[in-house]
Amino acid sequence: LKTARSFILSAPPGEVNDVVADVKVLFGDRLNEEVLASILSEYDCKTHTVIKSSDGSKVLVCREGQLRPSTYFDHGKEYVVNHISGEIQSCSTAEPSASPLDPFRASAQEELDKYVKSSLSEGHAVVHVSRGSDGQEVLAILISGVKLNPRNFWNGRWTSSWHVRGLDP
Amino acid sequence: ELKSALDLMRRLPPKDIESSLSKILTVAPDLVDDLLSAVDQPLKVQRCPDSGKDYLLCDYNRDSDSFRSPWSNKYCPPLDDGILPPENLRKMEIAANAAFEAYREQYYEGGVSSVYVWQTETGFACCIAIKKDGEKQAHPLPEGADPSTATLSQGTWNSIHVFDVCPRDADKKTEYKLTTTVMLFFETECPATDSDLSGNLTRTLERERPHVPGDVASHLANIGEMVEEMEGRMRDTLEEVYFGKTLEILRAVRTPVDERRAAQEGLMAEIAAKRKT
Repeated sequence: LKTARSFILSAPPGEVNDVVADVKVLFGDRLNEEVLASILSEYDCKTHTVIKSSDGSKVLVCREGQLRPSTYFDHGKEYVVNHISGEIQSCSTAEPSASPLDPFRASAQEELDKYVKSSLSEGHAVVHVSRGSDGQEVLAILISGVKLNPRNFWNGRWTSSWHVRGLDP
Repeated sequence: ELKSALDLMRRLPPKDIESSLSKILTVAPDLVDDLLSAVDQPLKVQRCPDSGKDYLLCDYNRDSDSFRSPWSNKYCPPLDDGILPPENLRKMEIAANAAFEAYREQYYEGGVSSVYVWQTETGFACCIAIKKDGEKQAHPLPEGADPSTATLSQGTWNSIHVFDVCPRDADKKTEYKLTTTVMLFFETECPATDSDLSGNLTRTLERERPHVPGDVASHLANIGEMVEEMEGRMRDTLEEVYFGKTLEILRAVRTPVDERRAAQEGLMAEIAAKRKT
């Protein structure tokens, strides 16, 4: 199963479903729903997968934005995500954050949205306040842009993450 | 099952070909013969104990777990009943190895080449394998910069040419079918990041050429010509795909400067407007 996980995690952008299909054939029943869901949630977090909802809003899946398993925060909303189907199951308004760094988060988010619109095609970015390993609060900026063109046999993905420390509220 | 395994091998990172293949074989061990013959692996080098020269290991000189040296015609580790080419083909093999050593030295200035020939129902087949490990090179640094911040890059070239040769002695013509796979790996290390650009490309070529029945050299000349042409073409295609296309995709994902894009869009709108009038 470690092998299945390593294969799925190294799938190229846009091809994860094909890789999962192949892995299912080779591993058979050993790859059950639960295992697959946990591997895919790891994949989505690692590659900052952006999932679009039917009303056009997007959620960027990442560790820093995870509120509960399969639930992620983005732009003031909480999204429950199905990692296997790649779809949003439900979305609700999130509670406002009580962190002192929240004003930084809000203004950074505003600027980032402008940046993403002009520089990344089909890009999305989200800012979170998260706790670093030393217990300090940091501002985490996650950016993701994907351009898929499987008919011409190419796909591209841009992922970046930034952690800003030492902000004084 | 084989189809899934092959599809997987095409999608997983090329620099991990060996480890991905061995992982698949631990899960599906009965696919071993099919996979080893269908998937090209990066060439490995071994020293021939008799001649002291290096030779390349591939599926075409393999018998169970031993590999035949083209210099000594012996298997290493030794096998009692390993498959050996018939006498006339062995003569051709010796001549081919010498010819391609010269070719390799001219084009690659180093590296290792090996040629293996075997009998087929319609004639014979041969495999020409060439491998070159580039030296690790540092990129030029601005004056006064710290040498430990240099970006190092290293590349490895593997080419595997497999010929299916069908001579027709009656009308002195031979059909040559060539399938070539080139595997190219580039790695760059620098203090900030590492990057890896790797992949492989397979192309085929078919030619009909005259030959002199019974004369090995005439076949070698035709084969040599096709290999030279094919390698030249592949090298150009690889350059285009690795660098040109990759840059194009990068630009599609992230535009470097928004002003540039706005200017481009303005220009395109202008052209579109002019076309309409």
